[in-house]
Amino acid sequence: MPALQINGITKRYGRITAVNDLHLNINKGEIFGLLGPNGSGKTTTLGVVLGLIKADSGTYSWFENENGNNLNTKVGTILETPNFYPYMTAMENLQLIAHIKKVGTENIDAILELVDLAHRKNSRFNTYSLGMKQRLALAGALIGDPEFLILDEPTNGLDPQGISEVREIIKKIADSGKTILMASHILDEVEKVCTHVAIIKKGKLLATGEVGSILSDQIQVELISDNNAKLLELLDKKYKISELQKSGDKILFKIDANFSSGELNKLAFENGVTISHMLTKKTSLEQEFLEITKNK
Amino acid sequence: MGHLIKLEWLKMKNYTAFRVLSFLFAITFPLLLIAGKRIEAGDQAQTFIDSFYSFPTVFEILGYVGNWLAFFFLGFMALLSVTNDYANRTLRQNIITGLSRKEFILSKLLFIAVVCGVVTLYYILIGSAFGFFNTAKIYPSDFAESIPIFGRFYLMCFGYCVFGLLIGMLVKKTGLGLFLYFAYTMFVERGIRLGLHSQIHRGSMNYYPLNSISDLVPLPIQDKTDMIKGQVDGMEELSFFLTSTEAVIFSTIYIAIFIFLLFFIIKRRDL
Repeated sequence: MPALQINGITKRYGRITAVNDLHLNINKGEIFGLLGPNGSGKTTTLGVVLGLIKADSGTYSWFENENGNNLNTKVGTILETPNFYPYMTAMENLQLIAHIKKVGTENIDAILELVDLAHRKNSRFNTYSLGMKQRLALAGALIGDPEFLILDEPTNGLDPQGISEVREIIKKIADSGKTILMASHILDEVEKVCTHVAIIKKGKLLATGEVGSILSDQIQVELISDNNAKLLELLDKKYKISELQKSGDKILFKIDANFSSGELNKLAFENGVTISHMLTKKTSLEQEFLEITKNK
Repeated sequence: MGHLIKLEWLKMKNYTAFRVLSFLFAITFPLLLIAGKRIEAGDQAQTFIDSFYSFPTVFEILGYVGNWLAFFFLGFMALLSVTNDYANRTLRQNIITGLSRKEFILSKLLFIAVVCGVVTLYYILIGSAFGFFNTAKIYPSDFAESIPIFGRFYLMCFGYCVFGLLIGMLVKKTGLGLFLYFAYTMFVERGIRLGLHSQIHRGSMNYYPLNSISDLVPLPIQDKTDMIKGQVDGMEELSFFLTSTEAVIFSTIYIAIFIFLLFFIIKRRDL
């Protein structure tokens, strides 16, 4: 069941088109990564669906409009930097959020435990480190036990320890069955946390689907043999080959990650084909991402 | 309604600027009146000064002192309550959390309405205390006569606050907001009114927004200015102040326009 549907949203700032006819479907239970380089329109998209930014055209609907668009308790959000009243304590800030959401404050202590801030709950927000602020932002998003979480660059600006802590918390939240929409420019983060991904660049959707199908760990193979055609025929029966290119007597292609060069050698030998050159290279997610976003 | 007032209270109760401004207002208000009473003057002047502290004049004098204090402290407080939410990006966060844009403005308006109510009660309390100790013979009618000024005092406080909210909403930045709030009232509007408008048509030069709000509780010298007008040629059409009724009508209109603009701006603005 769709939790959020985005239908052809476009947002322009003067001559710059921040989001360009974007269509997305996020279903309940998915951990959906919105992946794109800086300035690709991720935050603008989130701003639009949260009602902070007015789109020039297009529509969006939450939970198939079953409760209108009143998102008070259904959606928890971190957008860019953590925004709290600096002169108030963590506890007071979270109580204020609970007051806005019109929910009880009895779960605040448990949420502070989850984000490991219980021991600093009575410290003012302006005494917190960046990592603690980000964890408090996660706590704020969890007030009212929302079923959908929007996390915009949740590890931005954190040190490696902070990144690891925040990711651990996100995984714990994900395990509880909540739907998460996470915007990030970090591939590694999306790959480690998300089940689905949409790649955007300059506000345009380039690809969307399950993480495995979009950002697959394929192996790039370069081959020269005395019978390339027969070799390809043999490979095609056993593996899924893609992006085949021929360059002189050399052939280049991508193959599933379960491919092994030893197995290919054996297969060629058994069928009377001699391989004179073989180079295998694992395609990194970065390469995959760059290829998708290249020249588009 | 109570939910929105409480929301603003939760934001403001620990805000240092709110505490300092409230404290300064609370002590300056009676202190200025006490200071005025301690001025050494000749017998005739002393009798004149003493008359300020008896019923019903005490409410006019204290109201005028409150006029300046409300302009500074309450207007600034209202302005800061908006710029604070912009500076900390908590306006955006409030909306993300689930507050509607309309509720955001409504919470500010309701909160200042309550603050102005408390300030008006404080004004009545101080005025009554001064009047009680400085009036030789107290007639209930003297107190009853002052009731309309209580209402005008409340409207004046509310007017300054709504104007403060509007400036805060327009410029978002605290420093620039305070400068504009002060500069518009003290120089821009006065400059246009006295420097330009008075040259074209004197009779209508007092109907400006902040002047209307200020004239709700003016310096109680209306009788003396009327006397001057009667004695000097060419001054007949000159009016120093709006009448109370005019001030109430025009202030109400301007406050309604300010409130409309507040909702208009927040509805259209990207956050």
